[in-house]
Amino acid sequence: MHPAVECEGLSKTYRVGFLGRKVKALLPIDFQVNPGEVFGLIGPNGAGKSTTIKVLLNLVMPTTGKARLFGKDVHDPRSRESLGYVPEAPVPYEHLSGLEYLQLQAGLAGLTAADAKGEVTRVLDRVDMTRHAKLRIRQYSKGMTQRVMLAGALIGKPKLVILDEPTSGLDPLGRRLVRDLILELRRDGAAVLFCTHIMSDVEMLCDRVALLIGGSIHKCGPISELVADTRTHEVVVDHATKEQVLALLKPDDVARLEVVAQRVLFHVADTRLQDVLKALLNGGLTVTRIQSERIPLEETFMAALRTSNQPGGLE
Amino acid sequence: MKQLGVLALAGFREAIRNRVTVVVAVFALVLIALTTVVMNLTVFSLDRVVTDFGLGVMSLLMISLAIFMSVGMLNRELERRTVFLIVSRPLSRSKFIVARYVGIMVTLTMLLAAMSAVYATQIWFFDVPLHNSMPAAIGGLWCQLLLLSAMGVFFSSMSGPITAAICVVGLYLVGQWTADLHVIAVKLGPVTGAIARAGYYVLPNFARMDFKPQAAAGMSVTLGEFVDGLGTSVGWSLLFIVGATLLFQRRDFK
Repeated sequence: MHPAVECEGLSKTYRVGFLGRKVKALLPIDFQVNPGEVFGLIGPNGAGKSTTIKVLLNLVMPTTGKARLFGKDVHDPRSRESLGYVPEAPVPYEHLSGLEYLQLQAGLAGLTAADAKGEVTRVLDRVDMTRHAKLRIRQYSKGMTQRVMLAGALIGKPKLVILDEPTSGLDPLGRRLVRDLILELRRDGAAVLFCTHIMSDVEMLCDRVALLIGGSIHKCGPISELVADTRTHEVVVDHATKEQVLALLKPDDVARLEVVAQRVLFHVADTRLQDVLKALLNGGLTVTRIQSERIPLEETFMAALRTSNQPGGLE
Repeated sequence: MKQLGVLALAGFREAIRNRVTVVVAVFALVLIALTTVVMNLTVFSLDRVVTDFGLGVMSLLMISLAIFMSVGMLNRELERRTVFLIVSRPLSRSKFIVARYVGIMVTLTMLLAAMSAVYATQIWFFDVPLHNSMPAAIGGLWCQLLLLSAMGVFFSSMSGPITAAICVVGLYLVGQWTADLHVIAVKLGPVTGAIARAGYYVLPNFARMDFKPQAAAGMSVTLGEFVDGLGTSVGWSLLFIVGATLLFQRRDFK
């Protein structure tokens, strides 16, 4: 079975201004998204997330490399036969009603009139927009517009859904709907590729993540791998003093040390945990608790940004 | 084919809901009101005024509308990023261009039909004798709209709306006088004459599609003349649309 998305050595250089100055938006990148997988593209503004998505949708021509959807080159319209897409801050045809817009999308997806009718009813119901379907889109709020866009992306039960900042500007109910839809799509075996600045969404939804910085992939893998090298543990030693603990350990091993009611609490890096425990136990101290503390993805993101000197773009 | 149909329908809906209905209503009122005024002011016969003035106003309005709709269409799609929602479907860019062009032509044809109905009512009301050059003039206007819209789509596929409008209007004006270029070429020196002659053959000749003078003078238009105008329009339009699809094929939508 072909991966839903494949990028090999994909790069993009734009020419801007009168003199055609070159701007590298994307350095060669490689990644793939498999069916049934939720893949997150994260990175600061200008990192190349939207350019990657535009190349995949054939909206932008790559300078080098190949991009394929379900094994078909993105230049081939058939590669988009089972694709749903929601752009960032969409401005759809405002003169159409939500219903007419979805009928248009169903027609473009190649559904027959009978199939289109059933499909439009299904997706309207799924995003809870049946009541407002006959209103013109220009009368919709931002959240309602986003719901209709999501409904459009769901038409024809796509095997790949690409979402560019799908929860941006939505109220908690809208965000919940988007999250539920993503999980539902994964359950049905569809692949979801989405980019966002909201790290909690990424942690909650993604199987794998690619961290893009300055047009190249800084890190790529499952969330657990991405945060593993920054994991720390909180260690609690009972009936001991700060001096006793420090006498047994190297100063670099201990961070954020506190003393609370005859208990010494401190943080130790994952890589040093075993050595620290041995030293404490051999020194006759009692370790009563070890609490693994996963540093949020946001910290990993910020740390990566600091090392690359790129401006941040977190919400 | 189905995709082409739904996209053309969406374009037609947009035009109808945005401006076309208003334009038809305004045109009808202006035409009826002004013809009566002009009739009282002119020394020409009633028949000529009704025919010439009606066709002239219709031509001016429709040509302006064709240029306006075609040069702005692609840029509006790109600015509002609606093109993202269409091209991300299994649809080639060439199909997108053709569908949009068809949408413009459906709108213009409907509008021309509505205006022709008002014009026919006026002819009937003032008891002007019917002549075959009258429908030929309306058919010729449709041919001009076909070509102008194709030119608008072509230029807007590679430039902004203002540049595209300047190019289309420029070509339209030159296209009205290409026959004169041939006449001038004979009187000029060998080099400038050759340039003028080349211009005659290279530029679209809009005069071939303009049967208004014959209609105003009550002269007949032969089938051969009409087919010649139609062929010129269709041939040039095809060239411009193929050119537009080739240009649009490699364009980046940033």
